[in-house]
Amino acid sequence: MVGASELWQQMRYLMPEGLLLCAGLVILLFDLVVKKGRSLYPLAMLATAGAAALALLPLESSEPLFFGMIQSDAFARYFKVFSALAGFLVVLMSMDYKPLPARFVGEYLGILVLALAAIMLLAESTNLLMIFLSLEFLSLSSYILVGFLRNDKKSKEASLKYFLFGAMCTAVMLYGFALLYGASGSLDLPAIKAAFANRQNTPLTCLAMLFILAGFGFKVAMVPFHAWVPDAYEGAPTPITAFLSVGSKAGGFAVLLRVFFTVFPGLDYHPYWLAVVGVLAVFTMTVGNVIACSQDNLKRLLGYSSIAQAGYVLLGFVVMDGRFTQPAVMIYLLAYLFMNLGAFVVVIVIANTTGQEEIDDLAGLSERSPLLAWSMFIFLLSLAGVPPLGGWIGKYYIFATLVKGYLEGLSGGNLMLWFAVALAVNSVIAAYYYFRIVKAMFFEHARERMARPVVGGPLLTALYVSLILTFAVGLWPQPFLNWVSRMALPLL
Amino acid sequence: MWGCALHPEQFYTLSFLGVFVVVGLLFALGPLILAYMLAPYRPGRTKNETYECGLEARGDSWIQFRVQYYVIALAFLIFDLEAVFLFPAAMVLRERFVEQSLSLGLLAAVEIVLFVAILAIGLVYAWAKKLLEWN
Repeated sequence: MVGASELWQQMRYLMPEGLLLCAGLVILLFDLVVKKGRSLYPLAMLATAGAAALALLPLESSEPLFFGMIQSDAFARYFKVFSALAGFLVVLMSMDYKPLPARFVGEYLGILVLALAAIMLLAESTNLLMIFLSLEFLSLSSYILVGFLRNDKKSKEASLKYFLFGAMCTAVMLYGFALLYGASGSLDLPAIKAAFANRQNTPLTCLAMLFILAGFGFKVAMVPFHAWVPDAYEGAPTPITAFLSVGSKAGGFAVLLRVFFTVFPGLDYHPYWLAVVGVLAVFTMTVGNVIACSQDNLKRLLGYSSIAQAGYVLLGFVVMDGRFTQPAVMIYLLAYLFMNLGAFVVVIVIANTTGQEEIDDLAGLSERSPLLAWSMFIFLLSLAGVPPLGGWIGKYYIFATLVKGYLEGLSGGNLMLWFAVALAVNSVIAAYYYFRIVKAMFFEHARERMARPVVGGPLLTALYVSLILTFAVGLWPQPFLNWVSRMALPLL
Repeated sequence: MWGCALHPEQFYTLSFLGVFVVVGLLFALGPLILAYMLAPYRPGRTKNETYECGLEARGDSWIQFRVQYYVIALAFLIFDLEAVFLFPAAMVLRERFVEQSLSLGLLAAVEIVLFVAILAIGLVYAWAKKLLEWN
């Protein structure tokens, strides 16, 4: 039996999410007292920055905490830093986002901060029940955040669609959990692994794993659970679109990595599994890229692009080798965080200037605001995977992982080579639509009466941070790679 | 499928499921079919009413309800569930204090207070935002 003092000791591992949870509630309460919502922004910035600082403290424990519900290891700490950092940038982006009504700012920030805590909890859960609770915590906050523009029909529609789709996928996932529990007799991931270690597999476990993949696939926007993405991304307030595309996606990948690396090695058909995930990944990036080509709305286009990016990251899972997969996925997500948030900063500035978010609104941006045009150019190059930018390092590592898996003769090696080819082909398709935006910015002329975009302090800060780190990950990848490799899950 | 063979033992275990499904279907459908065959069918105005006794139903229920109705229903549901959680917690709390250490009991008590406090913040919030006023 664990004593009270030990439980108290274990609390210190939960400091970042504890801070965010308290901050979320305090912001909501302050909102009642303070009538001006804008004064809550510093509080939210302080909370996210504080959480990032706390998460950077080397407080790790390889022991299961709180009766096996949570494991606050280096891997969880990586995603805590990630989520707090993403949160900080999203708060900065929200400050100058005009369509957000001032009187809802308190509620908005409170729920956003709580959603960040949910991502942190998701990354460290080692129990199916806890995974479900944190996933729902994240989902429910996201549904509300998506529908925050109450007078905007699109926003309400987006929220409803996201909710219905999410409820469906969660139900399927929960069914999967129930089946897995029935097959293994435990909700704890390590115990489930142990239960599968010396037993023949049944159709029951296959079904359970497929169902669970539905729930996680929904969070990371994997085909065929991607249908909510374009509508939710288009309708949501733009900072929230940015949050969904990096924060909630990273949370999904964190839990996927943990479940994959804890439970799957125990399954004796796991080569088949990898083929299933690989084929889904190829579908995900192809569908995302092909449909993105015909989009005219920037947020929709970036939505489809984010589906495609999820496909690239998923390919990393195909090589289930601890040395390669985790660092590749984690460095990709890090690069993706900065380049994607940066692109959304530009979208916000454009929307503030022209009131809409079409590619045409970018026409002649290089004349109106060279800084914005060149930053967007850098972010798009990075998203397309052009060296020497962050996105290239991510894609390079995913690609190298596949090729290494082939060369080392891991099971299903030939398939991996084909997946690598699919990745290369998809990068070319993706370049087409990223460069459509570039063409509009540099080679088309602005319509008459197009105002010069004005970038305020907070957006400028977010832009510079994203820009510098997109370059940094690409040009000096070694410190980031070292860090990411140190934070990977222990090999089993 | 995918190299998973069904053992005789597993087949035996799964056969329970099959029997359960069949019996469950019979149990659900049997009375319906019996009633359909045996019961006399004489509909009338009074017989077709929603409630057999009590208030007379007026109008159609396919109307737009006030959104506020759902807010109040949700607030009620939260506190309903809170009570559901508090009862077992109270039972275990006694056990913690009596059979285990005082400090563990105190920790559990603090956790319960925290749980209620967080829900109370929600109620205060809804109250202050005038969501509970029906007008």
